[in-house]
Amino acid sequence: MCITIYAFVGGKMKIAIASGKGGTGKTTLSTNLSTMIAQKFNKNITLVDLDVEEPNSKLFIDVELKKSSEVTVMVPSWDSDLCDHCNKCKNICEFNALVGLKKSVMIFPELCHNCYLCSDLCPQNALPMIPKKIGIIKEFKKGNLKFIEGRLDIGIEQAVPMIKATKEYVNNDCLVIYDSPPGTSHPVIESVNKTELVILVTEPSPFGFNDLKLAIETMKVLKKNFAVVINRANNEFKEINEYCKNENIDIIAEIPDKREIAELYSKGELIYNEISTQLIEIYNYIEGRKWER
Amino acid sequence: MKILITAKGKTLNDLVDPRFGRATGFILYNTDTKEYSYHDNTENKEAGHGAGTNTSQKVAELEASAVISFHIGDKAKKVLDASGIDTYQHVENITIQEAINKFQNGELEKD
Amino acid sequence: MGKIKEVVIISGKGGTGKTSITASFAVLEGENCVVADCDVDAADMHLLLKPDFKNKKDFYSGTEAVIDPEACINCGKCDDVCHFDSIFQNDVSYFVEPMKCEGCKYCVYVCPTDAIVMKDRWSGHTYISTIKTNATMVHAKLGIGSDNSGKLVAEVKGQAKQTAKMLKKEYIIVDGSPGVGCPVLSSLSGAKFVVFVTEPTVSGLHDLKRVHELVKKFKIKSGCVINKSDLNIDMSNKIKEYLELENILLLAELPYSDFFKKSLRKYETIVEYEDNTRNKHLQGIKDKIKNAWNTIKEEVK
Repeated sequence: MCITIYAFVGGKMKIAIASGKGGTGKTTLSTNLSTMIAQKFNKNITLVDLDVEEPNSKLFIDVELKKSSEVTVMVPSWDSDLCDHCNKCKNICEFNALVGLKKSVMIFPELCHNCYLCSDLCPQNALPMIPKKIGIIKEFKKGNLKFIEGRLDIGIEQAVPMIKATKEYVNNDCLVIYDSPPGTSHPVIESVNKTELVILVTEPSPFGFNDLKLAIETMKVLKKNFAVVINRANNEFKEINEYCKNENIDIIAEIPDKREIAELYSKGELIYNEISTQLIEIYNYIEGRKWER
Repeated sequence: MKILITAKGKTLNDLVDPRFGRATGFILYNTDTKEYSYHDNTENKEAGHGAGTNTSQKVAELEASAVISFHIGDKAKKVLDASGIDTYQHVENITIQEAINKFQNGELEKD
Repeated sequence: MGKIKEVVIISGKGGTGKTSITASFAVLEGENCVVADCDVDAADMHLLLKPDFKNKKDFYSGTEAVIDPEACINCGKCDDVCHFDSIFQNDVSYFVEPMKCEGCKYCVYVCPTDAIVMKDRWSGHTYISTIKTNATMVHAKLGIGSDNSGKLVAEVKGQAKQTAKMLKKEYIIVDGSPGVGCPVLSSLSGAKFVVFVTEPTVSGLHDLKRVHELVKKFKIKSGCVINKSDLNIDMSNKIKEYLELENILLLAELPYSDFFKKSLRKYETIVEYEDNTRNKHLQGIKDKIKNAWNTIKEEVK
């Protein structure tokens, strides 16, 4: 088979793969696309799993652990020696992370939004800010593929700082693909921030269509460049194709709905050989245009 | 002694509110004088996160020796424990008066 | 009047068929229930149940800072103290970008002219609708860029409970939030029975275990529906082993079938879908779902 790859303009772009709905195939696309680029196109690529509550890309790719780093946020602590029990801090926290009792101050770091207000306002400097671990970034590598995973510790809910830290960790020395969490709320907004292109993955069903429209609405508000990939495509539900045509939205590729693909996926295996045509279309789309943020 | 019961209403005939942090209100009952007062908790009922910590801070100020409810969350319980307040959970579907009677008869299990 | 029984359907992983199963249960129970769509970030159940979107209410959650451009003296102290990069300056004054504002109020404390106030943050809409079975459904739409803290889920649940009480309905059927965070916990509060919907894939089992760990703490009776069960017999067996180990009832094993897509494309639940061929395979699937729902009802009696 003859493969044509257009000459690309600057391969240091950051692409996010997102979707309004869970289960459409974001991780399938991101793991298979990056593996294909690394192995078949022989190019350096960095895949970043930003689904920090439950990153599961690692289940599919074969890479070796190189480094681990802790991610921390700053939270207040109580210095009982300096405290003069003036109680100024008692009702100051909008997030109820600080409790003022008669003889002590209790801090709940899991509720803290790291705004520094209580700490800065304490006249005795009795609420110094200290780092608190919220998760771990792991860096893996094999051949041309670098894989970075951000994972929140169990019980921690601050996805946004974890996503920010994971993105900051990434070296911008080659094409970067962010596997975003599903949905359209804050973690997704943080994931697609500062990317040149967002690929929205959908499936041809009323649910897929409904959630695609929500994701598109969000991308428009954020003023992102975006395009669509239809996963598990068939010839029967055409509403998404018509909608994109009317709205001038590019459908980059349609990955067919085949039971064999589903079976491979169920075993945790990659499918890039089965869908190489579509992956090439997507890669060409990414690299073939000059994108502006 | 003063005991505090989470309350769905303002009188002793109202039902116990199964929640603590997001309770509608509390009845603070004095077992010696048999007097009681109702304290509204709407600000915390509507809170996003941290309803429990703020509620328990309020309750600590009211100087109750014991709190009776159905479910008290982990964070709220930490605050109550730190304040030396006894907690009694798993009380539901009875009136506040009935809860007080059970408490005084030693029928409630302390955490 | 008997107690109201709340059944919550969750999945951990997206795309396993949770919403379709929930809607099927709702159709089977007809008028005797209140339906709650707690999947507020990407609500889909309305596509199957056809609510009339009545009783629309604004939902507010948290607060955001607003700067009065006329009182602002452009000193920039607010920007200095803001840790969230949410304060910018234009030709006239400083202003707050609402999507980035955390609502911490630090800027309010430092503004020398009191030009900053906190406003209630609009976060979405809730609806109390009548659906095609004539039952009531409580649902919501989260505003773009709004934080899904679980509060909107709690609001939907609260309204559902109130409605069920008022209308004397026996069941509340809840389409739970996906994932393992606060919205899921919020979906689970007050549940008498939890249904896990999963698929026999590596990620499916992985996420099932994760979400079950969460539910275990609440000690609620639970059951599981394995969707697309014949996709991978090996994985299906692994799931069944896990269910037995953890005392989770196996409610149904539904085969990988075109009928699910066909019914969805007609905006119908599979239990309503009629194929002119009177297909036994289709009837088999419908029966499995009916049996699952009946089993659940037995368990919560």
